[in-house]
Amino acid sequence: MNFAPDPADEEFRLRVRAFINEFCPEEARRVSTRPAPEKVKAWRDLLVTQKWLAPHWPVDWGGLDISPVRRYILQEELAATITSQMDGIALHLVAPVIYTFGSLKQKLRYLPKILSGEETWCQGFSEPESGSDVLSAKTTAERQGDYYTVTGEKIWTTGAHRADMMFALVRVRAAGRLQHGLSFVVFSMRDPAVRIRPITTIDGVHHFNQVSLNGVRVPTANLIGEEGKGWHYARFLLVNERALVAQAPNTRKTLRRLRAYLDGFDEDRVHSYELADFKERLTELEIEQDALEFMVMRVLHSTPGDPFNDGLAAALKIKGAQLRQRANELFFDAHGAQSLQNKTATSVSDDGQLSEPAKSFLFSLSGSIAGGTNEIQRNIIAGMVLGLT
Amino acid sequence: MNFSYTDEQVTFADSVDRYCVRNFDLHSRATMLEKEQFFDRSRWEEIGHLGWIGAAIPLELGGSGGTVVETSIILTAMGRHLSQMPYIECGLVATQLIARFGLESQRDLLLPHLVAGRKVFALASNEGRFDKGAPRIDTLAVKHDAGEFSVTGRKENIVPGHNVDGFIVSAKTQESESPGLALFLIPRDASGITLEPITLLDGSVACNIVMNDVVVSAENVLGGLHQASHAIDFASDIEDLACCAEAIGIAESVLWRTRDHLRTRYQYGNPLATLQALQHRMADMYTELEFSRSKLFQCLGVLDHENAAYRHRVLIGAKYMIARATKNISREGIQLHGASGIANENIIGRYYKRLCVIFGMKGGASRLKREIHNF
Repeated sequence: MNFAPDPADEEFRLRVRAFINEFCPEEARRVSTRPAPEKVKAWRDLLVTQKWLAPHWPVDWGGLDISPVRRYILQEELAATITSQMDGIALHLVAPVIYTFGSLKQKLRYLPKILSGEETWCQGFSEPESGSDVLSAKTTAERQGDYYTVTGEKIWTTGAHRADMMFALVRVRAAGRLQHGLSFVVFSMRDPAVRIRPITTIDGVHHFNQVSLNGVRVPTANLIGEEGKGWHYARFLLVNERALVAQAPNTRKTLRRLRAYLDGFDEDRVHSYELADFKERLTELEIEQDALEFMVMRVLHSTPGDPFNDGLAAALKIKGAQLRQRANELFFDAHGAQSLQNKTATSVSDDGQLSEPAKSFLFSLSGSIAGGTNEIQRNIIAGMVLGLT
Repeated sequence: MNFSYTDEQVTFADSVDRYCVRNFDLHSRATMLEKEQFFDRSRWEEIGHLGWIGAAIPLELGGSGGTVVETSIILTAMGRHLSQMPYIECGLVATQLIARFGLESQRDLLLPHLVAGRKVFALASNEGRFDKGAPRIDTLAVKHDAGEFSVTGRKENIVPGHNVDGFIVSAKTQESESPGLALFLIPRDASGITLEPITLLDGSVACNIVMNDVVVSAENVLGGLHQASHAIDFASDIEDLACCAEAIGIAESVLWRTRDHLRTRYQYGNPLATLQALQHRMADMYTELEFSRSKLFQCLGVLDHENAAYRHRVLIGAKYMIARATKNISREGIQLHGASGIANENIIGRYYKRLCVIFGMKGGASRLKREIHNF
């Protein structure tokens, strides 16, 4: 056993950090707002050239042959920049399905434009009546000749209002028979049969949408892999994201900001017992953040498929979400009256009006819900590790 | 980084576990309780013979040359099986102190016997008082002209009690540099020592030590005067680490015993295991256990860190976190056992009592919180 970071990995980390310090423009460092895409294009292109934007991709398609630990190190360091907002859905969720199960033609059609940022994507999995129970999805794809006609409703669709493409799990009906499994299809969001209704979340921001698919014509050439195996593809590849879902780098960043507040602490404005409570809560979070990062390392070093390791990954997601929420809540509390104030409503951006601490904290409530609720994670643990189900 | 045992460690862990299963089961525990002395010296010599006491002592000092990983394997197994041997106090802290900080003469004289389990020394530092979160030591060692010291003071809850050969006593002395502490090797039958036997919550035997002008010669100052503060800090840190490792084993047993209970206890026609609310509570217990184990890995990596202050911060934080997490796991274990959970004959409650003892020995959560607050 060895609990010290590999010196070569740490040297890699320092190289990444130095590169970011030297080449990342100021506009691309502020993560709290969403700057115009042009402002960060140069930075994105640089990352693509370095092969750091999508290191997990096959080398032939723009990836880098590095270990899972180094990929994670990249994520950790790049969390300081706007890279964390660069269409993770496309880079991490749909691209892996395409490059693993898609045809060469599909790879050529979709992967380069994902990498360049020319096309953005949204994920059509959840439906109004199918949240955790993905396999109960009712969106149908009626196959006739070379086309599917896709009809149904998708919901909680992040970024649908900005996306060029959607990848969706649909149930194929052919020759009058509804298939048992779901199929993975992709299509353009510009199709007139696609209607989008915005959903504002508790943070006052427009992230999510409901998407109505009113008979969208999708060529059967847009089926990825085989019919009926869509959920299998999606689930198999989510395994690669197990360490990221804990959002440890974001939480660490918040804790660093909070620790920095102690340096600029104004004794006249804050009562000593408030300071004591703040220090206590922050120190407890820092103690646990260390534990979280070691748990991330354990998951990164484990082989997926082993029930114990799947349980560990589920526990990691639970803990990651909880810690993120507590850190953001402390951030919210620390800003006192300021946290409660809405900004003046002059901005027409989709960033909403709540204060930054309020937005961060309230949105973090989604961490224990999205991507597999904490309750589902507990079911996984109870079944795979404890043998209770 | 690597989170897997080597093949040797796997074999070692298996053998430790097998020994514990054979020797620390309920029957032998009941037999031990009937005897007046809970600390079985012949059993202690057995584990010395197996190499456990010297597990992390260097080869050149007569040990097995293992690392903190071997130590954690032993401690976790002891926790798992409620061995209640004074491995932490006597097997680990005392031997590590002498090996790392002892003068050559002290090491040569004591270590071979300690590692073999023939002789037993226990750290006697705790006085039950704290100052701004840090342990307070009032025991005083006054130096005389001829070079020897007179030690006067009181130590509290010293495990394993009177059935040892000697104690490593911490005391204030003006002769030592800031913060003015030193460690003294004192035989248990030294003139001026009174041992008051007590039994602790988990059934361990301990004693309070009262010292009245106990004379200690200069060559029995452990490591000489200039090393004491490093040694005392190290002793405290390694003891905290050991408690965390033992607690992980304790929590593991609680988890699996509770799981087995839910599977076999039927109410309303079905096993309790079918109730999702209970499945989820068990999942939370598992999550806390693995989170704590991840923290333990950080501790194992930091024990030999060059920055002692950093090492201390990590270990104090770990103790605070793991104490709360494992006690919560243990409480849940009792709760999920229903009425049988609070029947004393059920082993499930013993895990909780053991956790209370190991995490309460140097002051409890409030004291730790105070110290963390000073970070």
